[in-house]
Amino acid sequence: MMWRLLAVIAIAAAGADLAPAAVPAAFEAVVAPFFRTYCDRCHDGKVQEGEFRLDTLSRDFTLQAEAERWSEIRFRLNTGEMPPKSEPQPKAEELAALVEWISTRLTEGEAARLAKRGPIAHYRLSREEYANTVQDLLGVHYDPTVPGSLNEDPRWHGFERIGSVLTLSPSHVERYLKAAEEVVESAFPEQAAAPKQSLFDPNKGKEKWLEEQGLKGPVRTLLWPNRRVGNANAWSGGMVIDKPGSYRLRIRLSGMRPPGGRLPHLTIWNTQLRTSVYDADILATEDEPITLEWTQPLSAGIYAFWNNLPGFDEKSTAFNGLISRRNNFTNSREVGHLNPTGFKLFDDDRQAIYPLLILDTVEWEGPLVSEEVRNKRAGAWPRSVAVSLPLPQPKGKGTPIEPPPVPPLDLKETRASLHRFALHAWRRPATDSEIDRYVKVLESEVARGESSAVAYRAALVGILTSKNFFYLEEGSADERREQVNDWELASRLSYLLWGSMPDDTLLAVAAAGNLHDPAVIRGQLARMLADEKIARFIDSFPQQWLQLHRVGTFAPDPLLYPAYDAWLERSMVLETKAYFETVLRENRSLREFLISDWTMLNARLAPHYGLPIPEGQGFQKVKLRPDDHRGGLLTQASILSLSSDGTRHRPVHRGVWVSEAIFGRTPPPPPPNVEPLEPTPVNEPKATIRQQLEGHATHTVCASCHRTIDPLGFAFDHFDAVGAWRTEEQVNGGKGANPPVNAAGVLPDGRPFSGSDEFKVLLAADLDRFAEAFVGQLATFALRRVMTVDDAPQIKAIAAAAKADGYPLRAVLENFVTSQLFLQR
Amino acid sequence: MNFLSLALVLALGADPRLDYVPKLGEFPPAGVGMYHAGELVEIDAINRRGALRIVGNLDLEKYHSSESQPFVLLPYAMVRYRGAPAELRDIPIGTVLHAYCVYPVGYSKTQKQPRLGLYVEPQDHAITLEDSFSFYERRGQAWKIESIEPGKLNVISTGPAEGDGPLGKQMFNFDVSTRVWKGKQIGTAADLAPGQIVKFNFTWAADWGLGRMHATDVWVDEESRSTAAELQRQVHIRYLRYHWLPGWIDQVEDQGGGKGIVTVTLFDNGDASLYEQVKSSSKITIAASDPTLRTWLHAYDSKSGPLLEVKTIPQPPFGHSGLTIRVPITELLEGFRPGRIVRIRPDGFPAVKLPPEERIRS
Repeated sequence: MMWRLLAVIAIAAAGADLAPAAVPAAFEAVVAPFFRTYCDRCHDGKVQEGEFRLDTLSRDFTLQAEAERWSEIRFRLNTGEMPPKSEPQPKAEELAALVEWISTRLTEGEAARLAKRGPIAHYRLSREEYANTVQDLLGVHYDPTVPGSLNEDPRWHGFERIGSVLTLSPSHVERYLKAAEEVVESAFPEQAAAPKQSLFDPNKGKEKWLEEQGLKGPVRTLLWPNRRVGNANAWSGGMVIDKPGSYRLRIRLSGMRPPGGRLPHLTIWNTQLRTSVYDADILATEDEPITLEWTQPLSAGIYAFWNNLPGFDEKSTAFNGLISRRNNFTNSREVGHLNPTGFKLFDDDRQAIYPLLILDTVEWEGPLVSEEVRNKRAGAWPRSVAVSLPLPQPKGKGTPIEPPPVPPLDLKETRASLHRFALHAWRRPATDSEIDRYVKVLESEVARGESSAVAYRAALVGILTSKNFFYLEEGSADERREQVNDWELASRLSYLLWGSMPDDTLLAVAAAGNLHDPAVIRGQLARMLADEKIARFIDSFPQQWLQLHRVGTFAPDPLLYPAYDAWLERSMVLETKAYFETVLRENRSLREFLISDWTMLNARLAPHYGLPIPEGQGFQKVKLRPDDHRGGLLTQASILSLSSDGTRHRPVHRGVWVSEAIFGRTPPPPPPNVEPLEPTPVNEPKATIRQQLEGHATHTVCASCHRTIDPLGFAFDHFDAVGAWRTEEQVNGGKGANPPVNAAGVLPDGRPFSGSDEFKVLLAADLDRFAEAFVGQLATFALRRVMTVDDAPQIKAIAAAAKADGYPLRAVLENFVTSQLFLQR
Repeated sequence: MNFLSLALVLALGADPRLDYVPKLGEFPPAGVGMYHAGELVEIDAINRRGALRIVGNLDLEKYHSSESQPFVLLPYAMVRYRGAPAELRDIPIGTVLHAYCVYPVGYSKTQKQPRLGLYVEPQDHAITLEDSFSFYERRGQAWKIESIEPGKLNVISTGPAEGDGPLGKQMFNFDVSTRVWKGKQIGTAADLAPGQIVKFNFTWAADWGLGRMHATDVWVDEESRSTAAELQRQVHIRYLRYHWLPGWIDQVEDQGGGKGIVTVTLFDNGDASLYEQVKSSSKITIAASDPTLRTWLHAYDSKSGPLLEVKTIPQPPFGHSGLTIRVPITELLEGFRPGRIVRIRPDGFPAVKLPPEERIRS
C-alpha cells in the first residue's frame, strides 16, 4: 500500500507506528549510531563541550524539561550548526532519520502533556459553544464576536475546543458575568416589549416628486456593484436592530445580470461588526421582482443592504455622478432624469450593463419568541414572580393608579425553578447544597429591597457564571472513574453534534441511566443527525479539521487576482462545508474526501473553476469530468488558497497541510532564519517556485525535511494561490516566457505521479491510513483533547470497523460514539 | 408663402411648415418654421432662451397689447450675428433679430398646453436666429441707399425680391448714435452716400408699431462687412474651443462591461475649420450635455476614446454639420444614449473648468 511506501514522510501521530514499543528499537537503530558517529566525541561522559552531554539524556518526552533539551538538539542539527564544519558530516538520510525521530517523539510528548487529565477534567466551552448553549437554553441570541463580548479562543492546529488550550483568566470571568447578565436580561427583560415591525420603502414620500417629474414610478433603490444602502448612521436607510434576537426578514427585489457577467450579490452587512449575516446571488428580472423571506438571529446594530461585488473606481467623476444623483431611480424606461455624467447602468435595450440589485422593500420584525422558547423560559422562572415591570401609568389628571401589591416570594417554588434551570444549564442535576448558594443570593437581594424579579435574575446570573456552566466537567473528585457517566456522555454527544447542551430528550435518556447502551446511543445519534442543529457540526467540524479559518488570512493581491472578492472567498469555504454536508447526509465513503466525480458549486464558484453556472439557488451538486481536475477536498479552492500567501501558492505549506489534515501528522517545524525565496532577478530566466525550492533542497539540512514534505505540495502546482487551474506559472520579474507548471513528482517508494489527479488516486489507494487519521481528527474534536499513542489502537479499531462497508461517514460516526474511546474518560 | 404652399394649406387645412414638431435625433426638413422678427428684449444666454418684441405690422392694437414672443434655441439651432456663427450672448439686447421657430419637442395640439400670452405663438423653439446683417446676407440680399434725408435713409433691397422681412423700398431711421462702419474703421454719417450697397442692423424706433426701425449699424463697404464677420467668427471659435462642439448621439453599440462605441453627429453652426480639426484628431473626448448645450464639469466628467471612424455627408440636412464620428468608450456614461446631446473635444481644444454660472450643477 502506498502509505507504507510513504513511511518516511508520514509515519506519525496516528497508527500502529506510534506504539510505545517502537521507541527503544528506533532509538537503537537511528539515534544511538548517529550520536556515536557524529556527537559523542564532544558530548559524552568524558567531554562536555558547551556543558552539554548526550549520554545522560532522558527519553521521557512527556517531561517538559527533557523535551526542551531534545528540541535544542533538533535545532542545532537543523540549522547545520552541529556537527561543526570541522567534524565529519552526516549524510542527508541519516540527518533526516534523526530529525524525524526527535520530532515524532516531541509530538507524542506534547500530546501526552496536552491530554493529561486529573480526577476531574475541565473543558471550557468555546465561545461558539457558549453562544449555542444560551441559544438552546433560553432562546437568546448572544453574539460572542461583538467587541467586548467573549475573548477569541486559541486554536490548536485548527481546533478551537481543546481543553488544555482553553484556559481561564480573570478577564474571562469578568466577561462571563457581563454575558450572563445580558443573556438573563434578554430572556427575562425588566420591561416587556412586543416584537417591532419596521419597513424600508424607497417609494415612501416620493409621490409628489414622481408627479413633478412626470414619472410613473415607483421609486426603487438601485444598488450597483459595491453600492450599499445604510451605514453606521441610524438615519442612513439601513436596517436598525435595537435588540438582538430572532428576526423575520422579507425582501422584495430584482437582480439583473449583464450578459456573460456575474450575478448581483446581496449581502446584509452588520456595519458595526463588519460581518455579513446573509449572502445570496439574486436573479430576477426588473419587472418581476422576487420576495425572499426567512428568519434568522441578528445582533444589535445597523445593517446595510449591499450589492457585494467589486465596484467602480470611487475616485472617478463618473462614480461621483452616480452618488451625487439627486434623482431617484424608478425603472430602466425612465432614465431621462438620471444624472448623465454618472456611469451608464442600463444599455439602450434596458439590459443591465453591470450586475444590479433593485430593492423595493425590506420588512423586518422581531425579536421573535417562539412557543418553544417561551416554554423554556417559563420553565426557568417561578410563576409567583412577575417577569416584567407593570407598564408605565398613563399621564393624566386624577389619582395615580397604585401598582398591584407584590406577592411574597414563594421560596419553595423558586427553589424548584432554580433546580430546573440548573439541570439544563449545567447539563446535570444540581445538588440542594449547590442551589442553596443561589437561594442565598436571591434572599440577600430581596433583603436589600430589590424586587423578587431582580433577585431571581441575580440567581440566574449566578448559575450562568458558575464553572458548572462554562466548563464541561468529566470525572469525580471522590472516585477515579475510567468512564464518563451518562450526564457527561450526553454532553459529549450533544457538544460533538450540536456544539451545544443536550436537549430534553437526551437529558431524559441520561437521567434514565441507559445512555451507555450502544443501541440507545445509536438511536440518539440517528435522532440528533436528523435534527436541524446538526448544521452546527457541519459548520464547525470541517472548519476546525481542515483549518478553514486560514482561508483569506492573506488577502490575495488584487492586481494578481482582480476577480477575487469576499463572496468568492466565502463561497470557497461554503463549498467545502456543503461537500462535507453531502457526504454526511448521503452517507458517502470517506474516500470521497480524497477523490470524487462531483462537488458542490454555486454561481460564484463555478466560473472560478471554469465550469458552467449550476441551475438553482445556492450550492448545487455538480457532476465533474476528469478534465475538470476537481473532486474531493484537496482540489477545492478553499484548501488550495488557505495554503497560499495571497500572492503565490506555497507548495511546502500545501504539503504540510496535507500531512496534518489528511494524515494527522505534523511535520518538523522549519529551522529559524530560513532565507525567504527571492523574486527572480530581472536578468535571469523566470523560475517557478518549485524550481526555486528545489534549489533549497540541495542543502543537506533543508533536503532532510523538504524531500518528504514537498511532493505533497508539488502535486497541486497546477492550482494558483486562489485555487484556479493553470498550465503555466505567472512569474513576476525575470526574463522570457512564464514557465510551464510541473506538478509531477515521485513518492519515496519511487511511484511517479504527473499531477493532482494521479496523486489523489495514490492517496485513495491507501484509504485505511486516511480513515484512521480522520477518526483521530474526529476524536480530537469530540473529546476536546489531543490524541496520544495510547489512543492509537482504539482509533485504528474504530476505523477498521467501517472498512468492510467502504468507510461510510455515518458508520464511522456511529462506531466512534459507541466506541470505548468515546465512553472513557 | 408661395401659391403652391397656399393651395396646400387650403387643401389640407394645415401648413406643414408651421406644424412641424421636432424630434430628438432628427434634423428638421428644409424650410420649416414660423417667421418671427423683432427686437431682442430679454436674454438668458446660458440657457439659450430669450424674447422678441415682434416688429409692428401696422396693427397698433397688437403692438400695444401683445406680450413679447419668447423663444428657446433648439440644440442644433443656427445663430448668426454679423455674418458669422454666434451665440446668443454675442448679440446685444435691442438688436432686431429674425427667427424661424417650430413647436417644442413632443408638442401635440390635442394635449392641454400652458396658457400663452396675448398674441404669443406656440411655435417658440427657434431653429434659426439671425441679425439683419446675417439674415439678408444668407439670402443674397442687401440694401442700396437711394437718398438721404435728415434722420432718414431711403433704401431699396437688392437681390431676390421675395422672402420674409421688410424688402423693396424702405425708410430706416438713423442719427448720430448710428455706427457707420467703413473699411476697418468707424466712420460718420458723412460716409453714407446714395448709391452705396450697405448692410444694416436695427433696433426699436418710434412708430415701431407702424413698422419703423432704427439703424444701429451700417456697413458701407465690403471690407467693413468682412472685418465684422471675421471678428465674430473668431469670437465664436474661441467660445467653442472652450465649450466644445455640440452634437447628438445617433447610436451606442454596447460591447458589455460598460464599453461601447458611440456615434455622434455634430451640429452645424461652428466655423468649418473646427470640423476639420475633428477629422484629423486622434482622440475625441465626449461630455454629456443637455438641450441647452450646457455641460456639468466637461473637463472632468467626460470620457475619451480614439477616433475610430469619420463619416461625412456632402449635403447634410439643416442643423447637421455633415460630420458623424464613431468613438469607442471604455466607460459609458448615463448621458450616452441615442438622441442625447453631447459636446465633443478634438485634440487641441482646452479642457478647463467653465465659470460656475455656465455649468449644470446637480
